[in-house]
Amino acid sequence: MTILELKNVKKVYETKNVTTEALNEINFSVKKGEFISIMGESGAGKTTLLNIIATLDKATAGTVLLNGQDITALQDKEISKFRRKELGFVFQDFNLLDQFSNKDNIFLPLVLSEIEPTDMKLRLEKLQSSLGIEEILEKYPYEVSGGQKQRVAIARAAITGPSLLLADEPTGALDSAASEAILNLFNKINEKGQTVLMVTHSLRASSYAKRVLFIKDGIVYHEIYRGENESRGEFMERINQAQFMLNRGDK
Amino acid sequence: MNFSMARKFAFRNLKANRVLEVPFILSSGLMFILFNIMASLYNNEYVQTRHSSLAMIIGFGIVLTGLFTFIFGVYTTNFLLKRRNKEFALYGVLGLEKRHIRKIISIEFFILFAIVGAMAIVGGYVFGQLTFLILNRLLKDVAGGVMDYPFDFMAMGVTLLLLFAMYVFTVLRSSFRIYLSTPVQLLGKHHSGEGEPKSRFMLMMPGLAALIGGYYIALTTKGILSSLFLFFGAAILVIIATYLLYVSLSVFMLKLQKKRESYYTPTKFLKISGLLHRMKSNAVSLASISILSAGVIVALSVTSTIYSTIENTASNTVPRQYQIESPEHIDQSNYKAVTKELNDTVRSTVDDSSKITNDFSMLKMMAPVVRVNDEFKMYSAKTSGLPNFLLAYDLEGYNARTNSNIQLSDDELLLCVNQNNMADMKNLTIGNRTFKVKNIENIVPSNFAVEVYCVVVKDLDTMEYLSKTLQSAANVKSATYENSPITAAVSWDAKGVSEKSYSDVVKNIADPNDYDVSVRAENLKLVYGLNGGFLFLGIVIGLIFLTGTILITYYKQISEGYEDRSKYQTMKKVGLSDKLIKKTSASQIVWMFFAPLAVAAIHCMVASKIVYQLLGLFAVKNFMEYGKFFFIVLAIFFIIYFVIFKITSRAYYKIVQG
Repeated sequence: MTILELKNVKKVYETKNVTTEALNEINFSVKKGEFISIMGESGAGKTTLLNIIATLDKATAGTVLLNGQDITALQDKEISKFRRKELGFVFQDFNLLDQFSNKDNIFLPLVLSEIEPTDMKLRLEKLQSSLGIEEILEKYPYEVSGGQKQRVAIARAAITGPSLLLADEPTGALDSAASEAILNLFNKINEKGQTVLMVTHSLRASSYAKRVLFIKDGIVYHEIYRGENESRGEFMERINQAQFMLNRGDK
Repeated sequence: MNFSMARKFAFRNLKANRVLEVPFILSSGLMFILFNIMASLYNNEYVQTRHSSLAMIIGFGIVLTGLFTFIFGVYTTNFLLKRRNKEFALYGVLGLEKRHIRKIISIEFFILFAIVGAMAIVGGYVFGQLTFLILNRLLKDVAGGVMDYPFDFMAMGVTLLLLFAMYVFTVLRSSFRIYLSTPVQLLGKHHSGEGEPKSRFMLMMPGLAALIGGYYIALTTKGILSSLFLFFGAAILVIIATYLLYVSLSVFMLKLQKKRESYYTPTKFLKISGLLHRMKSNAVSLASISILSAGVIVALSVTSTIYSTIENTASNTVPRQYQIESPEHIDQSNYKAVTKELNDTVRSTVDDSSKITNDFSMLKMMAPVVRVNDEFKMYSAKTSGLPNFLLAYDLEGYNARTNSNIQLSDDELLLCVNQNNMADMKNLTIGNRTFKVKNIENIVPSNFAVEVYCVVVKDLDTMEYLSKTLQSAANVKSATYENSPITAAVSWDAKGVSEKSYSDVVKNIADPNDYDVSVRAENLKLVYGLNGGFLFLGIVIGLIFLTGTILITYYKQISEGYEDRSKYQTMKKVGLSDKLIKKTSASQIVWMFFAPLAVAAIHCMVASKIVYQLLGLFAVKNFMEYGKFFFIVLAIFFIIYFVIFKITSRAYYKIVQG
C-alpha cells in the first residue's frame, strides 16, 4: 500500500536577480512500513524535498499525495492539524523546547490534539522502554546529552503514531556511539511497522535503511534496495559505490 | 593585546551590534534622564523652602527612582549580554584570552555608558527645562509663581555616580561570567533558557513577613507627623515584599497549576510552561512595573486631592466672594449697631445696591477647649489634656449662609468637626448646660490644619453664654482670662463689577473702620502660591514614574519577543497553528497585564489610609475626597496602561512572527 507519492514535484527559489531550481521533477513513492533514506550532497535539494513533504514549504509545481490526500492543496488552517496527525518529525538540532520537561516535550503533540492525559501516559509507557528514556523523563532538555535529546525527539515524533516519520539528518549532531544507538532505534520502530523517511548524507546512516534514493541537482538519479540477506556492511559498500559512480558522472 | 587594538575591536563591535545597542542606549538614556530630573528636584527652591517634609519626600522619591534605574539597567544589560554570548564564545575559539575579551567589553561598555551619561546630563537639563516651561505655562494660574529649573551640579554628580556604579557592576558581572565559563558553555547559554526556577520558600517567608509588616504599619499608623516616617518604612517593606513574592509566589502557584490534570490542555500547557520558564526575569520586571504603577497612582491621586482641596479651602474660608469682619467684640448692646454699620459699608461699595447678592451677616466666636467625654471645658494653664478649638456660629447666619431653614430650641445645637473620627456625641455639656447635638456637614474653614469642633447655636444669648463659660487667655504669662471674643462679619457676592477694581474699592472703604477684608480670589491666589507647587511636583513625579513604566513594559515585550521567536518556530514545526500561538501568547500577555495592575491597585488601597493621614499636612480632611480621586486616577491609569500594552504587544507579535 502506497503511503506517499510525489509526482513531478518542482521547487524554484526566486530572489531579485537569481532564480535557483532546487527541485526539478521529483517522482517517487513510499509504501507502508518502508524505511527510506534519501542521500545527496549539500545543496542537492534534500532538505527542500523534506520540507515540502513536511508541509513546511510549498512546491512550485507537482503534487504530493499522503494517504491519497494532496497535501499541496491543504488550506493553511488544516496544515497544522494535518502535520500533527499524519507526520512525525525528528530534526538534526532536536528542536526540543526548554520550557517543557522531556516528558512534556513528548506529550506536546498529544496535548495539541487534545488527547486524554491517561491515554497519553499509556502511549508513553509503550514507547519508553524501547527508547531507553525512562530515566530522563522528568528532566529538562538542557540537562541531558545530545543522544538523549534525540531519543526524546524520536519519542515525540512516534507517540502520535504518524503515517510517516520524517527525519532530517537525525545523527548530524551526534557522536558515533550515540548515532548508532539512534539509528538502531529507527530500525526498531520501523520493525514495529512505522514508515520512516530519512534525509542524510551519511553513508552509515543510510545503511540502516531498506531503500536508498540518491538525489542530485534536484532530481532522483538512482535508487538501491537492501537485499534480503545482505549484511549492513555489504549494503554500505554498495551505497558507497553508487555514490562514487554518481559523482564521477560529474566529470 | 594593547589598548588601541582592544579599542579597535570595541568600536567594530559597537558598530556591528547597533541593532541591539541603539534601543539599549535610548532606553537607558531615558531612564537616567528621568533620574537626573528627579534628582534635580531636590535642590529646587520651592522644595527646600515650602516644608521640611517635602525635601524628605523628594529624597525618598530619588532613592526609589535610583533603585528602579539600577534594576532596569541590570535588566537591559543582561539582555544585551545574553544576545552576545555567542560572539564572546567565538573570540575564545579564535584564540583571544579571557582578559582580552574583558578588556574589549570594558571599553565597549565604557563608550555605551558614556553616551548614556551624556544623554542623561544634557537630556535631563533640556527635558527638565522643557517640562517646567510647559507646566509653568499650563499651570500658571494654579501653580503659584514660576518654578525654576536651574542646572543642578549635585543632581549631575548623583546621576554620574549611579551610572558609574552601574558600569562597574556590569563589567564585573560580565567578566565573572566569562571567567567562569568555557566557550562551549557560552555558546550553549544563548540557546538554553534560564531553566525552570525552583519554588523558593526561603524567599517566600521573608516576603510574606515584609508584606504583613508593611501593610500593618500602613493600616495602623495614626497621627500626621508619625505617618511620614512610617510611610517610608512601610513603602520600603512593601517594595521588598513585592519583589520577593513575585519571584517566589508566582513560581509556587504556577507549579501548583502544573500538577493538575487540566494542565494538559493546549492553551494551559503552553501558557503555564511559558510563564514558568521565564518567571525569573519576568518576576523582576513585573514587580518593577507594579511598584512604579503604584507610585504613579499614589502621586497623582494625592496631587489631585491637594489641588481640589485648594479650591475648597478658598471657598469655605471665605463663603462668598467678599467678606468684611468688624474688629469689635459683640454683645447684646452693640450687636445691632455693628451689624448695621457693616451692612451699610457693604452698600456703600456700589452705586446700585442690586449689585450686592447672597449677602448675610454672621456671628463668630473661637475658644480653646478641652474635651472630656461629652463635655467641653475651658482650657487654662492648669487643665490637663490637649486643647481643641471650638468655633461657634449663630443659627441665623448659618441658615443664611447655607440657604437652609433649621430651627433650634434653647437646649439644641448643630455640630460638625473637621476630622470624621471625632463626631461621636449625642449630647454636649458646656458649663452647666447640656445640649442635644444634631450633626451637620462640615463647615470648618479648611485652612485649619488642627482638629476643630464647630457648633451652631440658637442665638447671641447662647453664644454669650459660651463666651463666658469657655474663656480664652488674655495674657498667657500672667494666666489671666477673659470672655472669648465674639465678632461679626458680612459676606456677599457682587455682580456687574470689575473684580480687580472692586476689591480695591472694598478695601479703601473698609480700611478706615479697621475692618478685616477677605477676597476669595486673592485668598485662592495665596493658597495656590503656597500649595500649587505640589500639583507641579506631583505631575513631574507622576510623569517620571509613568515613563519608567512604559519603558520597562516596552523593553520586556521586545526582549521576550526575541527569546520566544525560535521557540515558536519550533512549535510550528511540531504542529502548532498560528491561531493557537496567538491565543497562547495573548493569554500569557493578559496575565502579565493584569497581575501588576492588580498588585498596584491593592498596594494603593492599603496605602490609602496612611496616605490620607499624610494629606492632613495639606488640610485635606475628607477621606471621600481622596477616595474619589484615587478611583479616577486608577481608571485613567488603567486606560493608559492598556494602550501602552496594546502598542508594545504589537511589537512583540511582529518579532515573534517575523
